[in-house]
Amino acid sequence: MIVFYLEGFKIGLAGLVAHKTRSGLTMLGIIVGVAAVIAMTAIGNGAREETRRQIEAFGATTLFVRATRIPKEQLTTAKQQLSEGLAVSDGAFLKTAFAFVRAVAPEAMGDQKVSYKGREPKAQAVGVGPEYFGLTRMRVSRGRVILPEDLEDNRRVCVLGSRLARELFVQEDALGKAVRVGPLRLTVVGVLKHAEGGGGADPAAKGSAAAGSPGPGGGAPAATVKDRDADRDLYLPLPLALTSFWRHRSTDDSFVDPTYHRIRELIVQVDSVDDVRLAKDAIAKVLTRRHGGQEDCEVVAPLEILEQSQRAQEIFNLVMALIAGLSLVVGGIGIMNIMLATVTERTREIGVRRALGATRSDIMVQFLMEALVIAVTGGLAGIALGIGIARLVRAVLGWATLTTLSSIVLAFGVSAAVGILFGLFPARIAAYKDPIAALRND
Amino acid sequence: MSRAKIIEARGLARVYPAGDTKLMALRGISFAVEAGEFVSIMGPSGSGKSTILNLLGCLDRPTDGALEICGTDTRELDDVALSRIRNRLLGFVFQSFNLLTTSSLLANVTLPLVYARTGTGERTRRGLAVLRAVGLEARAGALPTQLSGGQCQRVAIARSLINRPRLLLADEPTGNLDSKTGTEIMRLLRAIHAFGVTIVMVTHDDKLAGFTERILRIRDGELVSDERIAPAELPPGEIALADIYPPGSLEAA
Repeated sequence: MIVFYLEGFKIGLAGLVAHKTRSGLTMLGIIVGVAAVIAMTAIGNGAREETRRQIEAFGATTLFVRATRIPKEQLTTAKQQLSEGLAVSDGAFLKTAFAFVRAVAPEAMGDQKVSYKGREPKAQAVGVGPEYFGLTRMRVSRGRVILPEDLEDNRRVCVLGSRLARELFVQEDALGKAVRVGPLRLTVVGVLKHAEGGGGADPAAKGSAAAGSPGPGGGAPAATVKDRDADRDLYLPLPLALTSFWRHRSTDDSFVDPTYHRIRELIVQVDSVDDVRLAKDAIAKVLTRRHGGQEDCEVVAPLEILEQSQRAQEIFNLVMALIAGLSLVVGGIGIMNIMLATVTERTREIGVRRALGATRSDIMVQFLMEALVIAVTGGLAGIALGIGIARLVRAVLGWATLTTLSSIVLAFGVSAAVGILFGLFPARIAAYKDPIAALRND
Repeated sequence: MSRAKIIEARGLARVYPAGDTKLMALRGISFAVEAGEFVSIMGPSGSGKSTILNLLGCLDRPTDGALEICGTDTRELDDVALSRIRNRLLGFVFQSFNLLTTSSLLANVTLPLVYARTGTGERTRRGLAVLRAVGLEARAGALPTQLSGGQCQRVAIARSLINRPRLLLADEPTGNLDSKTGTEIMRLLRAIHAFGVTIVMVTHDDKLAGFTERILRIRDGELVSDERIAPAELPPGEIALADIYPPGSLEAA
């Protein structure tokens, strides 16, 4: 019987080749449906994978407290309440006030130019404490990170992100050299490894997305954890940054006001994943109270972002399944339609085959196989098209995409199922034709 | 000497429902055909001769009566069993050849072997043998549309022989051919008969029937005469049947 199925497959293939245009048009529905499934799952999986990768890089127990820009009136009110916005003292407070807070690492950011021998690449100066590197899992490729002694002795040192080091020094060895950072001259004591998930520095996306701007978070459409390219960071001791930056300007902007939001971000690590949700609300509440009742901070929990993106993913998947299902049904009806036409057209052939000894099930198998061949060929074309679309999206938009074998297998299986399901009715009609009438048919 | 019965029809009747009334296509006819006979069935159109051929060909079932083909009672058989009889015991030759126009000659003649579940190698071997027998082996890869009518009918005959049938059913086999080519086909049938294959041919052509040994005349669904005749002179055509039928394959009951 297996041999005969193969025979039916051959007959089906021959029929397909004999009617290329017609078969091609018939396949269109299946092609579109399958391509949609493949492309969309690739994009969805890519986004999820990107978020997951970032969370792995920072750890699921990490939260980010970010200073937010507040309007002038709010800023005035806050300052009247003697708030200085996000500050080092907030970090210390969180650590003592909450048992579940294991560690806090503040980041102070200055809008400072970084230069060396006239080269002035895009960079971000960040004041950090020694605990920062452990918390963010950053590792040096050369030299060392910022040490407690650097802070105590007020050493004028810095550690460079991998890309910044490359762009500043090109061929030179960065270690021991002095870089100009705003008003300061700092000695490079370390160069970091590429930061995993630390911003738009996904090497794969960079490679293929020449036209696409390497946006935040590797360009993943999902909400992202880090909002800058950590590979372009310059790290200096926190007290040095606090005393040296924002000295000269005073404006109504909470970000450039020298006395407000001197810490841009607090990285908070809690004891366990179960604490994340509780910590998020508690920290937000406490900080609002400490900042004169002004909501000038947001607390971001990567874990929560992942959960949200998973929920969004579920809805996305549902919508996608609906679209794919609809176009596959349309494709299936197309197949049924063309098979009914084929059966009518080949009535005489059916009669001949029956006279020569074909049983009803032989005829049924033959026409089922034809429908299957159309559907599966369409499915394969759809898979190819879908992968193509995913590649294009990756190249043009710079989104992360991930085509999984399981989605390909699923798409293939579904198209085969559509072929069989919608081929059944025409095949049955063919099988139950009266052979005598069929032989008389012109 | 009593030979094996290839066909035994007893009270064969076929009634078609036609609206409120019934159309009596066959009103209960009985006859037997022994192995090695060459019988023609004659009658005007609508007489029921095609109905007989359909019943003999196991494409239709009698409404009443019994029909045995090579000793098998066909009354109780299901679709699979009837298909098997068509495939293994019968060969069909049609007036309009009924070749598949998009398939090669080889694919056409081997079609019955597909349904006999014969392997590909064996199919090709036997397919080429039957094409050789009708002198068309060189054109095995050609399409039927590239052939003349006479050649097409020879391919159809090759196809009908590939499963070594005991009974060949021919329905106006020369009806679509000019008289010269028709005679050639008739000579082929004579040769096949001479080799020992039983043939039943439906025709309305007296000259054609004259080449057979026995004529059954049908009118209004009834058998009106059954006469044995001395067939007219016609030298048999050349067809190498020994390549198709292994020794002894026609003797078995």
